[in-house]
Amino acid sequence: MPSPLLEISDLHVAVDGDAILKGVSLSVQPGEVHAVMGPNGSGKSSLCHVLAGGNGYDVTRGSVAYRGEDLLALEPDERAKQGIFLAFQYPVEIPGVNNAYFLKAAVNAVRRARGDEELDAIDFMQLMREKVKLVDMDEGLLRRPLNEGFSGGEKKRNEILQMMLLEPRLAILDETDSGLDIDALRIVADGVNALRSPDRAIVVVTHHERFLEYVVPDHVHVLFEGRIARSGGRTLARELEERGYGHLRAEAAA
Amino acid sequence: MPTGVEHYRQEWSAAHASLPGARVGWIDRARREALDRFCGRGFPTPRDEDWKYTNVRPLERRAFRFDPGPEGGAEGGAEPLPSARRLDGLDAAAVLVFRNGVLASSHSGTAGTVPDAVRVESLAGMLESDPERVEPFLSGGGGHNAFSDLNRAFLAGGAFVSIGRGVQCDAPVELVFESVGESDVASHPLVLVLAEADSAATIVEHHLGAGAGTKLANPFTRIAVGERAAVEHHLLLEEDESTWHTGNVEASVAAGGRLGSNAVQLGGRLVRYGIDVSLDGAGATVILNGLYVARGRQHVDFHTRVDHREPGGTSEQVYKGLLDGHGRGVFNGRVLVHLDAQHSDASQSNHNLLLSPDAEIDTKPQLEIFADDVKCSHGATVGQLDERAVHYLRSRGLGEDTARALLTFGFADDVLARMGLPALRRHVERGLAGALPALAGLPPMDSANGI
Ligand SMILES: Nc1ncnc2c1ncn2[C@@H]1O[C@H](COP(=O)(O)OP(=O)(O)OP(=O)(O)O)[C@@H](O)[C@H]1O
Ligand SMILES: [Mg+2]
Repeated sequence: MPSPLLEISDLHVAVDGDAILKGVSLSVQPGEVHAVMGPNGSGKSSLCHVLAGGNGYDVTRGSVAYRGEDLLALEPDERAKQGIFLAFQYPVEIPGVNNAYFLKAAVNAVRRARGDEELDAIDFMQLMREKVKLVDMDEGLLRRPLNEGFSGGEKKRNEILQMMLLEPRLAILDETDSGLDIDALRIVADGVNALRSPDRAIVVVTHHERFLEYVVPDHVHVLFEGRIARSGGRTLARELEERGYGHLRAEAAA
Repeated sequence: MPTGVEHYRQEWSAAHASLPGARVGWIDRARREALDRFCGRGFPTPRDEDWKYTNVRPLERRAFRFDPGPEGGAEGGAEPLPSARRLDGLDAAAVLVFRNGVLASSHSGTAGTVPDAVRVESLAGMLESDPERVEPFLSGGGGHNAFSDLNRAFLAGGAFVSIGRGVQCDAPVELVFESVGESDVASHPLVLVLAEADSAATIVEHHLGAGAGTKLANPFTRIAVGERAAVEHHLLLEEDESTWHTGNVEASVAAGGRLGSNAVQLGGRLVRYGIDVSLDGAGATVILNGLYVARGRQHVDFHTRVDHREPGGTSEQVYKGLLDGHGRGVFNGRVLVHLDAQHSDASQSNHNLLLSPDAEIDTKPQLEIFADDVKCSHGATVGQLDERAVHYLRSRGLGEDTARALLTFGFADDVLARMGLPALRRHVERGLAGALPALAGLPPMDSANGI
């Protein structure tokens, strides 16, 4: 078995002193797709943010290794440069920062870190046009301030566009499928599937079994009250769809 | 040598007889009255509510000399400032360059694309040759504060711009005011812009200083927007760190007229900028955008006032401030909706970004509403960068310094975009990038397509 791309061990995380994650362990191999499900407030986004280096998440116990190294010691931009990408559940609106300008700056920052040559304006434009078509995004959004006034779906498409441009080794999608129309759901799924490769891994957080028909996961985990309550294969998602999370609550109480 | 008010009285006595239009009754009277007001009132002190946070005592203690010099071709021995400091790609219809308030004709001219009914010329010449034309705009008023009085008392020249009825002057008119040379030089130029009914014009006023000498730049701008006329006024202040700038703008907008006022302040030791807009006709509109930057030990004070006097007027103010180092900022925005001004719509916002713990800002909105059926809103904020935004950018691979610089830049660029003059936006973007070292690693932001 190859060494895991991501190894989360007994991770405990607190926010403002409140325990949010209470012992999460998860191992992700290159080439795999993992789905994380679970009720609202169970800690899915918190887990994502800890991996991306968000502020305010105190790791009180446990560890996270990425490609064998301590991930938690890295600054957020360092993580991005090493190939980690989080599609935010709620992308931040940034007035005054032009979207295309930001995308180019990000792409070149990551390319520089990988030792690739930076793209000039013309090459970047070409690359961006190509990807914009794939996510079926209005080109006008490139000229607007980053995410400012974007509709929910437009923000999600912009996250996927960033993912495609940055070509991460580990992509984490926090409910990128939420609030999308049927066509957009397909587009996001196609984008994720296009990224699948033997040396990359993808973690998708979702509430929708439907999405997992498009992006077929190798493993499904259920996060419940800060712990992984169940792990299984593709069929676990279907089971949850039918039974809901109620029985987990009963199991947790038992 | 006397300082304070007495110094200016002596200077005036020696100079007034040889000022342009000295033999024209109303001009001489306007100068005298302004001098008397100035001397009677003296320099403002922190006890004046309007000057509470801006102390001009150090300015009062100096004796700034005023030398109108001979108009026309006068170079004053100084080389023109490097053209790199000028707005690039403006494609101006006409340019007038003033050095310490005196027209430098050899650097001025028109591009030949100016419509016949557009006049751009020396105000000093007008005071001699056609004083009746400017009398209604200069014989009264101007008495907002000590500095506008001082300007009027020493009225010696500046620019006269008029746009005839129904004429659209597409290319901007560029007025450049350079403060250069030795210490203690004062200039009091006046800009008069008359846009007749249904006309349209864009005026760019660029004040820039150079040299180590302590200087006083005290301009005054009077804009009269006719019925249904549209004027865009861009004021760019790039004084050097030894210049005190105390300029005022006074504007009136007739029925259905529209004024766009865009003010950007990037430099100066102390800058006090005042704008006073009177919406005099039904449905008149003023859109005010402003950006001020105070770094090092700079002090900047923006005072705005809008009077809604007739029904259905609109005023919209967006001012932003960037304060770094020991920079000190003051914003005071006053809106008066008079009794007759029903259905007025007035909004005002002032957002400030404090980049250093030693920077300071005092912001004060003042709404005084005497009509009952109006829509008014205001909001002022003082804050640091949004940490969630910093994190979002960093999560895409941008270093912390770059992320912060980009957000700072974006904060300012947001209001530059509202000003709608690409040449000005590019120029100010470059200025800001120079002021934010962390942006050096990023390619220039081209406002056209963003990359
Ligand atoms: N910054 C924060 N401050 C306070 N509480 C927080 C913070 N971040 C998360 N929490 C709390 O932690 C818990 C888990 O939140 P999280 O956003 O991780 O849930 P989630 O599983 O992503 O939910 P959803 O399905 O609604 O997106 C919630 O109770 C939430 O209120
Ligand atoms: Mg969530």
